[in-house]
Amino acid sequence: MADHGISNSIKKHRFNNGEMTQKALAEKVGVTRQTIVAIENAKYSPTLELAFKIAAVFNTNIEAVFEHTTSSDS
Amino acid sequence: MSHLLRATYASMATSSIIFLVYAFVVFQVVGVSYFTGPDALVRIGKSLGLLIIAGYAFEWSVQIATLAFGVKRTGRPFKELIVDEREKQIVYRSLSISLNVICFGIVLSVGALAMGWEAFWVFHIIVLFYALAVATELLCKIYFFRRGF
Repeated sequence: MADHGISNSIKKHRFNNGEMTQKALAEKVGVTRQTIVAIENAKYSPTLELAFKIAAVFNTNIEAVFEHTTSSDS
Repeated sequence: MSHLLRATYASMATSSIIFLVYAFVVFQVVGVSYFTGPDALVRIGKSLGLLIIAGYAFEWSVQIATLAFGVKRTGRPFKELIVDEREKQIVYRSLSISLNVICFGIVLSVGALAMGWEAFWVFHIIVLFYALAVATELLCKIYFFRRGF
């Protein structure tokens, strides 16, 4: 059965952008810090709009931050 | 703690108080016998109307106080208290689950009506399942908040 998910490298990008805090990122994109935590831990898949906003904060494209993964375990 | 989670905890407290006070007044103070006889439906209607009006008034008062507390504590204006997309989805999913509970209660109350139960018990099956639906909604919110979503 195929298992779809969205992985991300927000933590790495935050670190590479002057060790930006989760709170700072949350304020920049207009969500709560808990939502950033949930996204980083792959507990919540953001909407396309939020994903674009996060990528824009890091001055990169969406594919550099988010990746769609498909794993099969038949 | 986000404003919505704080509001959820406040709702748990107010809902508990509202339903406990209602149950105490109906079952202990006035008694079930008050809701029998020719005026039964009028008395049930008045008591449920009071539950709805007083309940919502109390709930909204506490929610406004919680909001004011949030504004004062964070020092941010009201419009900046964020309810973001994840929180909205948590609210929608919790409401969707709780809707099943209240619908089940309505089905049961129709069954009770068909079996000839007294109007008091028919209406209070709905009240009971409404209370359970509120509890389900609030517990789902807290569960989803803690889990991430």
